[in-house]
Amino acid sequence: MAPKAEKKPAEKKPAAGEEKSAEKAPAGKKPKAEKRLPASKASSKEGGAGDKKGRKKAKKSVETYKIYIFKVLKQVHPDIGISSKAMSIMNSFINDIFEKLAQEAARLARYNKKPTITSREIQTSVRLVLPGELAKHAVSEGTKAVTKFTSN
Amino acid sequence: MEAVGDGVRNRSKSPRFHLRVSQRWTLALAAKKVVGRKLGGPKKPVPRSVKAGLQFLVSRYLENGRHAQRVGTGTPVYLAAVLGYLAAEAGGFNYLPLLDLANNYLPPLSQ
Repeated sequence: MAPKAEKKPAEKKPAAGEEKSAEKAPAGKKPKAEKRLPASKASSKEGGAGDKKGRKKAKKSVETYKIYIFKVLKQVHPDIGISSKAMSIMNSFINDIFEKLAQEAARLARYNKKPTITSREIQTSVRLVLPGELAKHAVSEGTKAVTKFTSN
Repeated sequence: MEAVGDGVRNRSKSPRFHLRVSQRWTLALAAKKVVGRKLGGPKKPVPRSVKAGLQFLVSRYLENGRHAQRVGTGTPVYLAAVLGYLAAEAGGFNYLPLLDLANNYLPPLSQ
């Protein structure tokens, strides 16, 4: 935790400047993004677009990671927003990583002739799929979450 | 005279003893009831995301039978934590990859 705390303040300032400049250009998009999210939250926890479609054409609800990505963003930068296209990119990224990790875990389970995917398989998949420091931090985050989950 | 006095004293002691015993029993019953209520009371369902302290959804995407027949209890929690961390990381929110590249960079040898 200490090194992260040290690293963050030095880097936040230039990045914030960059993001501010980036945000100024698509200023019109911000209210759209803000409008969509509460609508989705009010109707259901899953995608706003799905809800809108559902109202008109009675389609099936679409599941996305958008509200969770927004929650994480508010945790890290409480006063920064995100455009709809950027949110779609992040959603695709999460789905992609999920598939990679799940397939790797399934492969590991098959190699060891076990029918179960446990947190151990996921940990090994993380180490195989993610490079370098990303894997280390991801493993520590996962272990911390499982420990807290078990204790509660 | 003395014998009668002793008899009176003995009789007076016994009802007090009985009262004390009954009081103790009542207190014990009350305590058991309270403890029973606390321990055996109906538990409200708590979402696993809250239990694990995560923002990402602890879901059942793995349990569709596509990846494995069975899934452990800790698996979606671990996966949710990793995905949440990567969302924060790749969104440029923490800027660790830059440091990673910086660490891997080797300065050119001076000739």
